[in-house]
Amino acid sequence: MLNRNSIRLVFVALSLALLACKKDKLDNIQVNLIPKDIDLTPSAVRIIDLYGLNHVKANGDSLTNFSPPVTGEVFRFPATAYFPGDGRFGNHWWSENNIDGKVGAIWNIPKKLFKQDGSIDLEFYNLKLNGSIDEFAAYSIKNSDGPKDHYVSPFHTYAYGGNSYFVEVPRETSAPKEGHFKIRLLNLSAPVSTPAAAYGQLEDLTGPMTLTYADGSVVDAKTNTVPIGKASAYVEIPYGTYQFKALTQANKIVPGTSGNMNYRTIDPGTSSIAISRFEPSDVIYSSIQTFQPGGIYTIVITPMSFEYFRNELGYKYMLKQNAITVIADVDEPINTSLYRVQGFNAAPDKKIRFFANGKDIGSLISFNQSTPYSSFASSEQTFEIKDENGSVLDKLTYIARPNENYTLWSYPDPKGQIKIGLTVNNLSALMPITGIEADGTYGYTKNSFPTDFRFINLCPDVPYLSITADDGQPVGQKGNKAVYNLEPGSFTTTAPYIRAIFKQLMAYRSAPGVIPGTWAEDIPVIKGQDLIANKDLYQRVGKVLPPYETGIYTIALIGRTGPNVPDAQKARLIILKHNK
Amino acid sequence: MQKGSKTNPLKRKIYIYRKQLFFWMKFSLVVLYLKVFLISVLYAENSKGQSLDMKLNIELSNSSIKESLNMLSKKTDVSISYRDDVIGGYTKKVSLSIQNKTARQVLNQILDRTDLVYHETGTYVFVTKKNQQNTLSGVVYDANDRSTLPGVSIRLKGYNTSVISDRDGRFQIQIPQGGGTLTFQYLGYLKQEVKFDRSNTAIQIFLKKTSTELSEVIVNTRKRVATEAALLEERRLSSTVQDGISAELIERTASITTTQALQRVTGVTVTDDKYVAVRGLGERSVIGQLNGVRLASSNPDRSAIPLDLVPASLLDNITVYKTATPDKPADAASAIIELKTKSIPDTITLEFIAQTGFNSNIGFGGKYNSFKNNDMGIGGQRINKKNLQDDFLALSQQYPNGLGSIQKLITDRNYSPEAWQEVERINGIMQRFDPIMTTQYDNARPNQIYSLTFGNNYKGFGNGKIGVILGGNYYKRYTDIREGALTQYSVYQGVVTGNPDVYSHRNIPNFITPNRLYMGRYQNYLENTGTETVNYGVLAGVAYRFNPRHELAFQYMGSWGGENKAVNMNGGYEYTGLPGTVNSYIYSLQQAYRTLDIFNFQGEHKFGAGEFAPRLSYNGATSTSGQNEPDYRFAGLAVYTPDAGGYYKRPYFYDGTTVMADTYSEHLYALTSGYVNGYGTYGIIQAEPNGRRWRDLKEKNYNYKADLSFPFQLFDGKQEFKTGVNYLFRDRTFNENHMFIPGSNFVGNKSIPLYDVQGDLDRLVGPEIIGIKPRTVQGEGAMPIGGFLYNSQKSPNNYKGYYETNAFYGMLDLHPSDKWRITGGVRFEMTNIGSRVDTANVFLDPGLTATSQDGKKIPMLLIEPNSLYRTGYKPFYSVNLTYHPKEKMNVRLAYNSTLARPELREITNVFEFDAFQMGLVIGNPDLKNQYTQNLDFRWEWFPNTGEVLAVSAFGKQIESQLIRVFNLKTDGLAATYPEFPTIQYQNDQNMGYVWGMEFELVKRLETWWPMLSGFSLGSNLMVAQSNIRKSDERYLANKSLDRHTPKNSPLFEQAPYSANVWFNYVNKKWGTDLTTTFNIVGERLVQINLTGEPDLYSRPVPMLDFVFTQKLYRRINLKGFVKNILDPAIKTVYANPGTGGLWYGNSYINRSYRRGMEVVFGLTYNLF
Repeated sequence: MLNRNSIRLVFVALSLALLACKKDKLDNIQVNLIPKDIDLTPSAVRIIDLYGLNHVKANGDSLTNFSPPVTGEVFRFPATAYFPGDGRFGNHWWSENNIDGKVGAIWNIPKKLFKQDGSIDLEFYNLKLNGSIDEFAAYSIKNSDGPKDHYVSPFHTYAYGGNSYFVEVPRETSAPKEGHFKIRLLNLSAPVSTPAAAYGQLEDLTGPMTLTYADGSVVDAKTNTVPIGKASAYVEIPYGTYQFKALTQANKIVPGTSGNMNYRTIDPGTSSIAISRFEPSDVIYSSIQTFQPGGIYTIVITPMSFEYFRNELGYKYMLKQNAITVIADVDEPINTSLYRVQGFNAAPDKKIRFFANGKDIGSLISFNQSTPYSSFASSEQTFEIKDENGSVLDKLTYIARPNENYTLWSYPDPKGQIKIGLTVNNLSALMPITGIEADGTYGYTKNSFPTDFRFINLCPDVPYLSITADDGQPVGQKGNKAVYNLEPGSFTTTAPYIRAIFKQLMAYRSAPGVIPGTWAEDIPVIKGQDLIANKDLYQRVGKVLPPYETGIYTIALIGRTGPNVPDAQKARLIILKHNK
Repeated sequence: MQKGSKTNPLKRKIYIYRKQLFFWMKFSLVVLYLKVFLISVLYAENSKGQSLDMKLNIELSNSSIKESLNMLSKKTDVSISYRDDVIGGYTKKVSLSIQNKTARQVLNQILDRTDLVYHETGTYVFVTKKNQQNTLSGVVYDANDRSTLPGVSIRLKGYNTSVISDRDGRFQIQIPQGGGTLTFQYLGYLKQEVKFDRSNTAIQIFLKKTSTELSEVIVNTRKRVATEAALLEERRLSSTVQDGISAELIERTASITTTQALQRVTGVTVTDDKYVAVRGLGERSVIGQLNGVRLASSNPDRSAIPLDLVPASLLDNITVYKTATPDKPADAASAIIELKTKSIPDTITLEFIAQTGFNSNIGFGGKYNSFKNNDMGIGGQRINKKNLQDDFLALSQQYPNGLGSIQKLITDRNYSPEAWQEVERINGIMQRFDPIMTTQYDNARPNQIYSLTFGNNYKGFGNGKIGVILGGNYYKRYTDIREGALTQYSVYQGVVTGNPDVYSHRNIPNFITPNRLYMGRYQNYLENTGTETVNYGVLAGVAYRFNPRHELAFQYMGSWGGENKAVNMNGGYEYTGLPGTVNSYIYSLQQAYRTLDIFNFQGEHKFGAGEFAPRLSYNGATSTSGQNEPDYRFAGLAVYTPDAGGYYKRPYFYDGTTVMADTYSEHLYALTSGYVNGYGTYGIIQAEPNGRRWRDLKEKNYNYKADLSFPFQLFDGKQEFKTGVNYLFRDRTFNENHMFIPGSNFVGNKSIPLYDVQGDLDRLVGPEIIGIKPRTVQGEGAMPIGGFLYNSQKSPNNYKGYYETNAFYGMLDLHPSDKWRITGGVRFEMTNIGSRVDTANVFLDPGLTATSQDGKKIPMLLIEPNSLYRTGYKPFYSVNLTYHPKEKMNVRLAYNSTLARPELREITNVFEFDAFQMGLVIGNPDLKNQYTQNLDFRWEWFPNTGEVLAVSAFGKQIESQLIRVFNLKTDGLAATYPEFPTIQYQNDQNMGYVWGMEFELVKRLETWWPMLSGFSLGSNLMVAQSNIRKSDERYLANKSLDRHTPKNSPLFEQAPYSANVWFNYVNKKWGTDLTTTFNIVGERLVQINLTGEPDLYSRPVPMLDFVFTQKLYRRINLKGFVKNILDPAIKTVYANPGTGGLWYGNSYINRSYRRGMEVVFGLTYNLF
């Protein structure tokens, strides 16, 4: 019976349902981010501070915290909106606590900071420990449509009386051709202060400069003898891992700078890394790094801070010496498409050509020769080796990934058949730390000046090869697969790299359970100085040869053993350097 | 940072606006409640017509009816209409002299002894002749004792019409003009057919019992005790003290779950909507049975009966046995809760219920707190999709040395294609986990309830009879707590998070002394908790009666359900002593999928004819239950915002090495975690609340029992000897995985990842941090950098266990005279509980394990992984004495001894951190059984059918009471990390006592005052006193702050009183049924603090519910309820007992929240 009352009740129920209002509930979101209400959109103008001014004002407004530097163990600086890291612009002083090695800064001036008329008044400061002003520089610059850098360096101060800190240098941002990067040399070298004679005379590293590869060979005519105060044109070079050097007209090597305390302590007379007050290492620091495809770089030479040993106790003083610094002129691109590959012929009696998906990798090479690197788009690849007649000796398929670096090896198997092998090279100098459990985020170290080795065995006559260091000293832990019982043609896939400096490396015939085994006297020992690609680089200027040369190497046992093997094919350890 | 103000004025405005909005919304709801009430009152009053209730004086002398009506109409403003030809035929003369009576009373007198009736519509009154030709009414009685019979099925032969007699045995049925035959059918009574013709208007039917025995042979499922009257009848006839609730009242109180229904039963209290205590004794002393078979527990930590899994609509009744007989388990120290599933109806039944509604904290179409990817599917089954997959679990076997070997594999990824593939696979597994750690508001759909019930019986082979019952039930509910208050008071102040960057040393402020008792706020939170619950169940029952002597029955009950719970707490530390604020954000995301399957087989046999034939009943049941909680996520993030910014150590890579350097941050972060002192091999155990947990409990339960009774003749009456056996075996497996999350104090990089994501907990578990790090610029051929990896090893808390109890008994049920009955005997029970903790391949903190030379982990051995508790057969006695001074009155006296056993989890030697209780739940292999002696007295009177008046008194003495103890070994002021308490069951060394009284009244009010026809009142009240001497440890802990602290305490979770009142109005004519119920439970001790702070008590919560049913059409009813109308704050306070929730005059509220009013309405449809 649908009577009036029940209708009424339905109405009440419905009105209750419809009127009971929706609760407006907002999520409880924590606001933890530093307020980003400042527009930091960059302009095309950069300040590249290689001097180390630590505070900045723009149009009279402080952008940094103006906290004086503090001595002691704790260095704490409050961040500012413009400098969210530590609220400082650059960092001018060196000390043991200045662990990040931060000198100077690359600062893209935010667009908003330019005044209506398109200019900006900048004031730079160095504060003393007590907070008073140590150094001060004021500079007004115009905004620019094209990319432009203003280098702040001691160049003017030392060279020309210090009227201005700034050198204006236009830069390029247009991309190089595929698989290449652009690089140029900017010479802001200047005469530097001289330590007391008792500590050795500082090398004179001023004058026109030439850009070279690690072995001292010139990069390009355009980067030769770049005069003081000038930048060379950019040159385009295939991407890869390089150790660029700058040579003075007297062929002296200009050192590089680093935050690493060892690397930045030099022997004033040779500019090489100092071991002690009286002992130079003769190894001149300069960073090894990967220059990414599409990247644009400037190598600038200007006086930078170093340290030297003041006495036998290891006390140090500061000095300035001309040094090279690599500046990225655009944000470094991430390589997501290309890989590099080279070939090495370890087949004693064959000339070999290497192919990737039918494309040449270098040209026909003889025994104990390697091709230069070729770069290809990453994808599944068929790598082939062909003899000089073009017949395929062996092939393998492999998924080549971007940013990877491979070496293809041709080598004989015990029956004399020629095989192809592939090793994956790590040129990054990233090394894992042991003992990492759940979180591996910080479980590695990186080094700009590595000497990394991996060992392979391509000699079918030595079924198990072990490598030892100086006088048979063991390398690494017992059972380390990187050095012990290396089998012909099989490549270690777990932690293959050894980072160490050796006087010499020796080959042993070993066996499972018998390591290092018996020294293979028939296989010549490799000496540290064998790593030096071009001894003339040092000898021509009368320098002592360094004990080794930094780089990323593969040491391979190639050739054959036995009484009937001709000398040219005799087993030997060869050195393949992967960086240039 | 010089920038940025702390309070945003716009936000404040919005906040104030929101507050106001909430106020008006609340206000409008209040108006709505009032509307509902007033309209329902109006609805009841309106048709009475105001003016007929007007009082008047009238003089009538020998007037005709017509004259009298005219006079009355004049005296009032009521228009009385009639047809002359109708009233003209009456010769009645009216003489009246009335002072100050209502017009209605006058009208009744005028029409008295005529077949005239009146109808009211507004201010009109129509007088017409009664039309009773189509209705036959009557009353059904028991032919023996002339008591009325409720629930008798009355069918009109040849028509599809049937009715059931009401609680007074009355019925009304529409009949055809030409007469017909009515069939009266009632279980245990002979079927009777009655012919009638149109001259019959009211009849009396007397049904005869089939035989005296048969009613006892009936299997439980077949006994129809769905009405309150029937339940009371059963209670009257029983030999024990029992209470209960019938389907009728379950429906009337709109109870969806069994626990909600139980709240209406005298002496029953329910915690968390799940855990039941009877007369104050907790879950351990209460056992649950379904049709006589013990229910398995699906909770890994608490010995709770999964009552909320059983849909109330499938129940016929719930009976609570408060005194024991030897034929019932002896481990029900306070009660057995017997759930009886729906009986097989005598006629075909098909009922469908669909209801919808909402919680007022959410509103219609409002929002509730939840989280992304919360979809549990229609039946909750999608929750299982979050189970740990096999490929993840297999990692622990593939990499037995832990995550270190996977990290190594990652750094070697580039060197071989196989490693590359494997690393990609593992990375995929790691990044597959839901990158969600925080809660988020989601739109709630309306609450929904559906239920379908079908029942019928069929003719079987020969004389056999088959009864079938099928029921299905589905409900989905949303609740939401918005801005509940949670405050942790302490004598200590300071900030301890386990992270030295967010730390302020612990201190006791100098204004707190034993002479000036005061506590300060330590942490203060606003709580937002949303839940979504889905539950569905089916019940299928078949009973086959070969003949009246032999019957077999089988039931299956399945219940499945899912629950999503999202908790968000915003707050912080109050008195930090730090220059800046320390906020804290707690998130808990929990999903649970629960299952219960029960197969129950029963047989009842009588060997031979006659009154003294022996009888056998047996019961075999297996059940499986499971509770799966995949990916339960918890994070408590403390954020310290120093006024001038802060610094933390962060690794910096510089050339050749890595150095930890001070790094500026506006905020400092910590995921709060700490230690538990005093346990484990090293005397200290890590307690990491943060993380993702997977817990899965599976239990199989086998229960067999048989009872044999031999009636015999003695004292001129029938006596009975009963004996039987019972076997129970439970087999449990518990598996757990606990995965730390980045930022944990117990993971290598500690809080650094929190800075990487600027405190965003979702990003913290996203691909930015989990798995391989995305490549920024790196050198050629650089190895990948492995980020955070989840650990796939099991937690050390996995165990397997069994729980076996065997029992046998003998008892006598004697009736020495008509007035006396004595039941008693002895039951022997044994206990055999054992468990084994799985110590193989479990995760152990790398910081606490030694690594052997070959890189293998040397495990930390548990002290004793095996636990075993065994007793032989021990006797337990019970005697129940019943005296009937009058036929409807009982006086009862009962004594029994009972035991309570430790739960499997409680003796198992595992140490599990419970993030909700913020403590380490530890096992105690030394636990033994608790022994309780009970004495009960009850006087009860059943004046009329469906009415009861009862007074009871009870006392209990509890030896070795199993109590839950919160213990804390603390470094006090020297603590530099959070110290978590242990939660452990122990046997109390002191004897505990409980005594109390119960009062119960159920009354139809018309027997007192005829005007109140249709109204009935039910009420019960329990008052109890409990007392136990505090243990020395507890007393000293309390005394450290409060030197006057009492030496005694109430028992744990014992309420001093509980009261239920319900008020019911039924109007058959309008098809209306309205019920208002009120429930309140006194303060209860809910946590014993050994930290110096006073104990925690829950405050009484008045609950007022309103339920209505309105018949809309013949087979369609509108039903609905409004629950928790008062919506009071539910509070837990730091207090001394009996002080009104205060501690030395001050109120210290630990937790306060409102549950919200629940509104539901819907339709029911009866097909037959």
